[in-house]
Amino acid sequence: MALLDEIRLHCESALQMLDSTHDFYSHSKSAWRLSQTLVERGHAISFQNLLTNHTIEGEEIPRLAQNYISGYLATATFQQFVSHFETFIFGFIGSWLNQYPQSLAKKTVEFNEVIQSSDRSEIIDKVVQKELIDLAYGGVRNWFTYLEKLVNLNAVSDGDITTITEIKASRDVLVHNNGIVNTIYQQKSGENARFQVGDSMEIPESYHRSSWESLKSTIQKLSQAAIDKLTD
Amino acid sequence: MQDSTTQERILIHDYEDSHPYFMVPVSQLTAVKALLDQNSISYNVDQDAISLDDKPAVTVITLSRSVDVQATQSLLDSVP
Repeated sequence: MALLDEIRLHCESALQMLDSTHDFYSHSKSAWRLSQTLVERGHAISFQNLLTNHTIEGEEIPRLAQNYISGYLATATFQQFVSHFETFIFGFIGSWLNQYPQSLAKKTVEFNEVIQSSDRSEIIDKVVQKELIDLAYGGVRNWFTYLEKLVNLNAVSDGDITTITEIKASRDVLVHNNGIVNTIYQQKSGENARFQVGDSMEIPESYHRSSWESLKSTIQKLSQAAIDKLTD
Repeated sequence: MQDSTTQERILIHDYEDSHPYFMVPVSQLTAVKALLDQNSISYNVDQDAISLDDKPAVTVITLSRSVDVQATQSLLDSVP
């Protein structure tokens, strides 16, 4: 597939996944709000988990619903947003590197890997994948620095990068530190830090929405700039 | 303040381990937001509204954990 088509595909796929995840969030929230409404209007409802044998009914339902909405649902879908963005950015960089592998010229590869590969493109792809794994550990700001050095798009502002860095740092707190804000979050987020060390990481709806919007916007900016460059 | 669709009192639900919230018909949202804003009460309005059995849609206002729930309830009750 031509690079231009690959970039378009990465973009469309990422935007679609972000929208689908937001739909899941919105619809699931509505379903829980519906249960709250039904209980408030006097309907008798109970939910039984046949595996754990836990039953919830009556006032327990709206209480749990409120927790689920602002807790699990918000944090789980927020993590998915970040995951979709990462898939986009590494797909984008990977496609570009596969098309223009010259920047990887000084990378070494074990001869065994060369023997195991069926052709040149497979060898290139193995080197690209290793490069992406190394890049993934470098942090968000490094991703954009690398991308800019590779493609020279000038599409994303420092403000955008700072925003995405804080979003990723928030996600990392949820995934790696049980939702408790640590110094790593503070260091990475800088002046964008929303919480102090020791606080519980929260994803209020306004932040959930603005994060989704920021990630989408960044994907669109990068993709359009790349498409413009490739079609010039 | 009464819920215009059910004629019931708008009641704030306050559970120990979650943000307080109450339901409000979308038609009353502007008035409720104005009331909360005038009294500097921190809140978030759901992005979605639901309608049940073709009745007018309702949405949810979630209050900040630091909000005085009793005072806010009294404020809502004070408005016809």
